[in-house]
Amino acid sequence: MFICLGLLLVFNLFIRPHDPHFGLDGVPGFWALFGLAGALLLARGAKGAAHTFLGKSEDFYDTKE
Amino acid sequence: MDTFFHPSLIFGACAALVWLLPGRTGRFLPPAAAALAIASVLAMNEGLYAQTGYLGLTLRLGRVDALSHLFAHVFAIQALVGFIFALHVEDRWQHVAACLYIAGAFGCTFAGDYVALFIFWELMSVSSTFLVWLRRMPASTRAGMRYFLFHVMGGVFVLAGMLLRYQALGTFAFEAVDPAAARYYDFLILAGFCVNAAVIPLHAWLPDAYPEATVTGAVFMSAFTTKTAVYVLARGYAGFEVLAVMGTLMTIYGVVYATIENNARRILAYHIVSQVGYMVAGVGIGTAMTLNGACAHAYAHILYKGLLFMGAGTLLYAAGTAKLSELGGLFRRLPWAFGWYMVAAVSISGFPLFSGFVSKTMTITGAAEAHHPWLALGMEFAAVGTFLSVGIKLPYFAWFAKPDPGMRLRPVPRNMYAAMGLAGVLCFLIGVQPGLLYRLLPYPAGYVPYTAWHVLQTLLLLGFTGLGFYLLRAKLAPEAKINLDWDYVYRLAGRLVLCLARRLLERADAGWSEFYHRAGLKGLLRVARGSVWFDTSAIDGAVDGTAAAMRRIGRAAALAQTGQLQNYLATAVLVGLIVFAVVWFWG
Repeated sequence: MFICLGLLLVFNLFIRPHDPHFGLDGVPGFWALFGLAGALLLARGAKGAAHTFLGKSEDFYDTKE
Repeated sequence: MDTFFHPSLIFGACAALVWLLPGRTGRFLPPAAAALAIASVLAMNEGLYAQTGYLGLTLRLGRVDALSHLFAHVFAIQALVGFIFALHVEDRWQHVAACLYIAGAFGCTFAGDYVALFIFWELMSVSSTFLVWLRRMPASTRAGMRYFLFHVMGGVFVLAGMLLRYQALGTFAFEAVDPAAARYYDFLILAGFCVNAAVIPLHAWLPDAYPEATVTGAVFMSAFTTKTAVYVLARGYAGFEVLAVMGTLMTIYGVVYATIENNARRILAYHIVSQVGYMVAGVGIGTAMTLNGACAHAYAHILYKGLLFMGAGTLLYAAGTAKLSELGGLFRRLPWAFGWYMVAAVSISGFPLFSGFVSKTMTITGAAEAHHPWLALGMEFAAVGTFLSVGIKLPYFAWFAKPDPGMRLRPVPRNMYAAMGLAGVLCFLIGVQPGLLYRLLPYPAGYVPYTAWHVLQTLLLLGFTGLGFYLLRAKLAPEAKINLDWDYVYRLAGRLVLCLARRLLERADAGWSEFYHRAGLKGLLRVARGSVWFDTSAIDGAVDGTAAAMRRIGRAAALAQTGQLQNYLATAVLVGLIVFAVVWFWG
């Protein structure tokens, strides 16, 4: 699994976008970092929101009606 | 061949037949109707058909061009898939509601003017409400009511906008609006369309109602309501900058909620918001490439989202729950459901060889090429979230994650697997033969999905998303909780209205008692008799057929505690018709 990810990164050194739309997306490894950071950010951020103010018990609406 | 046979007619007739026949035999009709609809869509050529006079106006019911043809194409296919999935259902009312709902979707797609559009628009919202109610559970009754109220609101926006527009321009023609020349009535109509497209913050009805719909009803609903809205937006509101921004926000908003949600069908519902966001953004950016992307994505999305709902519906059907916290470890006993679900999951995530890859990247590339790098980046971020929640989290916690809980599973009918297989094959077919889909696109645009860079970029993005999940999988474990959304705001608003109405009623009641004291019982009885006469002979006389029919449908859906619900609905439709008639004749 990790070998596959490593291989993808190696490929990225050789295969580059034909026309990068903004500076960074042409840098090798940018999209790998974007995916990893995005996933971590979502998991941390969204779960954090759920644990602080979004999450309610399942009968939250029932008790009020 | 130059023939146009309106698919709405096929489904309308099918609904009537299913109503008349016993449920056991009637349930075989809808798949046949869907097959006929496919034939009719394949046979039709571009042009204007089925113009008919109505209340002194010309209704244009059959506008066929590349745009409407593409949507009709996938609607017909998804109708077939959905009805095969629902073949085992013996409750004939579910088939009747689904047929009318699909008839409405086709009607909207081919409508050439706002009057025809509005009629079918309302047919869709009423009949889809029954797809929620017919689950016959208290939770679905309440969610259905909220769903219906929301769509009545959206319908009123459209109605008000189109009447004001008529007053200003003297036409009901449904054509593209120039963003620079849009007036207040155009924005009213746009708001009504945005309700159905689940544009945030008007999306609350979707994650509220879809998880409470019937197992098969949710499959239909996931395909038609939001995509009809995407179609009318693409038709009328291409190039509206506000849609580009809202659409991108939708893509992210949906995945954030999907990441924390526990109910499998609600996760998928939030992903409709997210995926429709790509289409809304594509329409909003409004270049040939992004409009094509929006259309292609709608086409691909209908097929894989239906398949996702079928997979999650199978879990619910078999295990009796769709909550991830109660599922897990079912791989050995429901392997086929897992397999087909994963086909849809990799499609929605945009893996090469599957349908999402050839449509999603088109919108994103189009956004980048139209010099909207931030929108493109936002959509890439949403793609990460899509794979994280629908591609990994949901299947991992539903089919793996813990040992088999040993719950009893209801045997899954074969037709459900057949429908999943059909949808799965189509997802794959579009992925490997994108030309089949691109041929249908309305605008000329050369886009090649399979370049070495596109494939590598996607694999990098999704591969490292997977790594992120692996690192944080403990943190992402589902919890038996619900999450506040805009829904909460609307519920509070609803309570406020109720409270005000109650106060008014109390005051009226006090006045009434006063009157009663003065006028005495006799006068009161006379008033009552008078109003009963007015009610039965004046109101019922005017709209007798509609009211009676609505009540009859409503009664079938009745639940013990909702004795008056269908009356509300009948009344709402009735009031709408009366208001419409009044505005029509005096406006």
